[in-house]
Amino acid sequence: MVKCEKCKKEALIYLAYGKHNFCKDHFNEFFEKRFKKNIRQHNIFNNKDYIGIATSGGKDSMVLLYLFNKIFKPKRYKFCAIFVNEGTHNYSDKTEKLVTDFCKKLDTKLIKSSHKDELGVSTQEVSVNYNKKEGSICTYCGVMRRKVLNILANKENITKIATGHNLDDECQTVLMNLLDNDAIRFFRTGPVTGIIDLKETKPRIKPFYLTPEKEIAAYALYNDIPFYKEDCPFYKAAKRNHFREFINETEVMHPGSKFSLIKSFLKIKDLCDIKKITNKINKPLNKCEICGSETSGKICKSCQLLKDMKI
Amino acid sequence: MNTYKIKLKEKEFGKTLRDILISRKINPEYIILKEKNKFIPISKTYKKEVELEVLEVIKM
Ligand SMILES: [Zn+2]
Repeated sequence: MVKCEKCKKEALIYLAYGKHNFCKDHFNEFFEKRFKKNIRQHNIFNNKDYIGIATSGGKDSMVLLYLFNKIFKPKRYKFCAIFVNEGTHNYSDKTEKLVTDFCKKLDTKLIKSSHKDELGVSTQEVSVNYNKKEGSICTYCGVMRRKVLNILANKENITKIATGHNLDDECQTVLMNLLDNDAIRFFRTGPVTGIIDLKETKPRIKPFYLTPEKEIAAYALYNDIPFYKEDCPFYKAAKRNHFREFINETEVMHPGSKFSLIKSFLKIKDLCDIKKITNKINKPLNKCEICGSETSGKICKSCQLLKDMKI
Repeated sequence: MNTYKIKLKEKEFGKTLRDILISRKINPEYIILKEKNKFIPISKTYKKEVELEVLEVIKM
């Protein structure tokens, strides 16, 4: 029997990067402690914020919602869940039911809307009529989702939008931007995103910035947190999958590589004169001529994509 | 979330599940293991034939 390093009960999980064996209770303690430390160390939010948790029904956002209830509800922090129905076959309706039921169980406020209601078009409708040169359907859906999240956050006076992005997502993003030679995007990412102070676009915060994806899945399974186990029928991310594989292969050969990559990235970001590098985007922003969102051009990316589709 | 079963072979007795998975080209970063419906750590070793359930918890 493998024993927990803290209490000598039977271990449930082994974390190769720290050679830790933990039982359920001590894994939970370790996991929650790191989550709180990340929020504190990176000033992700405080008790003056009103946090909207972008909850898709996947494991990351459902665990995030569960932890806000467990840790921040007793401390009287203000937060709610936000669900955006993309309108993709019955996938969106199933995830909507899952999120609605979980919010009821947790007694957490839920703000719901859809691509159709806010933008006049669903992802399903976009999927038959989009410009493949501009990207995959996920590009369109992502732009639409960000826009709807912002609209809802502004209506509700939410100050920050929390997403379930985890350590693995961030490793993939950092490497992708680095190998794309995209310095602006490279420096834009981090535990709190956006390097320009936008008035109408709410800051995005990532409380799982330093939490490995596998541990989020383990935490959900060990603690019976419901989550939707199928992928979106439209999901396609060939490039991201390539980086996911590369990073996971590296992690197995050299445990701790994911943490090292992100910590190195944060050090580089800290040392660099970001304003100099991102001078191009630091000019005053305009208001989108169609929707009023802040944009570096005349029309924001979301409206441009929709306009291109004549929607 | 995909799940499937694996059976340990005699030559794998005494090795950690982590090493067994890697030698079978299953990346431990993507999966969680269960034995008789109970979660088990990949640091575990066996000296007998056993059937384990593999839960693919991360998109592959
Ligand atoms: Zn313990």
